[in-house]
Amino acid sequence: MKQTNIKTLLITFGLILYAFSTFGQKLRLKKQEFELKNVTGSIIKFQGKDVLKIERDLKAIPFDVNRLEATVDEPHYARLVGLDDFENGTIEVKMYSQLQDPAPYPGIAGFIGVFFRVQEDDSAFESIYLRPKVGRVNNQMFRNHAVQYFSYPHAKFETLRKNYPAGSYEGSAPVALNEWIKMRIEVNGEKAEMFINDMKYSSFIVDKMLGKGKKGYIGLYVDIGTIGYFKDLKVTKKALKVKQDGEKVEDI
Amino acid sequence: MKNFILAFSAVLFLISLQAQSVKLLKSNLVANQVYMSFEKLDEKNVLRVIKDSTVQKVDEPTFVKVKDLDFENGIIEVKVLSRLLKNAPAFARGFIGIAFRIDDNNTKYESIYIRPTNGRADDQVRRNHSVQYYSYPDYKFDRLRKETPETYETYADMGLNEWITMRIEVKGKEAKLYLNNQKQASFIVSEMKGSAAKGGIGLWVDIGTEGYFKDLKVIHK
Repeated sequence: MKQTNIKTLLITFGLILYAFSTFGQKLRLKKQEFELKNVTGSIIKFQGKDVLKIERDLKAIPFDVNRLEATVDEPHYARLVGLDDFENGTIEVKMYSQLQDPAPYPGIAGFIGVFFRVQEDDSAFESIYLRPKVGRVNNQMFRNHAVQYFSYPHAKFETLRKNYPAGSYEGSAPVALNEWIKMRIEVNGEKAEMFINDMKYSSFIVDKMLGKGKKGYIGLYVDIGTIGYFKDLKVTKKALKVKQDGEKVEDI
Repeated sequence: MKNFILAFSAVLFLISLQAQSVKLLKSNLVANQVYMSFEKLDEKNVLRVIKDSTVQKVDEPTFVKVKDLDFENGIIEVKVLSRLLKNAPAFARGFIGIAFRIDDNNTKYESIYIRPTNGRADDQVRRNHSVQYYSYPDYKFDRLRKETPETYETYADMGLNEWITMRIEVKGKEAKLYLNNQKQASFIVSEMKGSAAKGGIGLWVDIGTEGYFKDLKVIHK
């Protein structure tokens, strides 16, 4: 009996420790501090540079292949500490996606990206992420799913695929695993445009985002099977740009 | 004499390795359901192509075909520039591209074309329709879009009124499109639908397009 108590105590203690390690762990990369939310992570030297490395914590939020949509694209990310009011402006970050080996699930695609307008309690946010594994595969349909927008919690990828015309919130982009990808998102009101590797024109556009949260935190996201590396996060807040009549004539 | 033969062989060999430039001259081309003319654009000789407006249907053999050319596998490269005609209908997208493996009577062929007005549109669905494959006559864009969505089209950056280099690499059932000399293919068709294994090459436009072409090169493999 006594031994059981000690065992229980130890388990409880272990759980508390674990909870501390999973929730609220903070890491400092240069001048920025990141709070790990349902991801494990560390600051490491990668190709000679300090980077933030994160992986989704499958114990914190379990994955269930039979409830795929419900158990992916959840709040597993590294939150940039101290910026709780990003509404409009530019988010730029370099990311590098590796696949875990062995794969925890055959459908992994190197999921990596950005959250923005994240509410304090993670109850809602917007996101654009990549599936670098399919960026250059020999199947055009897969390629066309290399970029994904979603709005948490009500408009995840499957819901969007079901309820909107094909390709409304997905697209192709010149991305791949195991290489640095510079992602820049320009957020303006309901619109978000994503630029890859400083290309002149955006590779992806969301004309009308679906979230209700107007401002919030910024986060760096990975999902199941990804070892994600991030560096050089830059955030610039800007005032809402109102489109002038006739400024951009959308062709016919 | 021996030296001459050697040199001649070397030259021949070099030519065979290099792209065969196809001159876009009237004597070398046949218009099929299009109007062709030869103009100067930015001080360069270019071919101008406009669809015959009496052809009502889309994805039809509306192209300028190169004479005496039989292409099966290899590379086709050409620079294209698209403008919208003043009387272009609302659904015009600047349709311009390449038809290949065209049979003698223009009754079947493969094609990859682009819709330059979609490349930078605010609507992602339109962007995802920037590049299109189709196979004439059985698999036009609407059938492919309905039966196999997202498989025979994609997004790529492009705009009207700018020269775009289209390079198509054809190998058996597979075709890859490279735009503007990028290292990676912008578009892949892993299983073309057509039955014609070889045939002619055409410079193709559809409704509402004022299309310009220059620097056509073909490499047979």
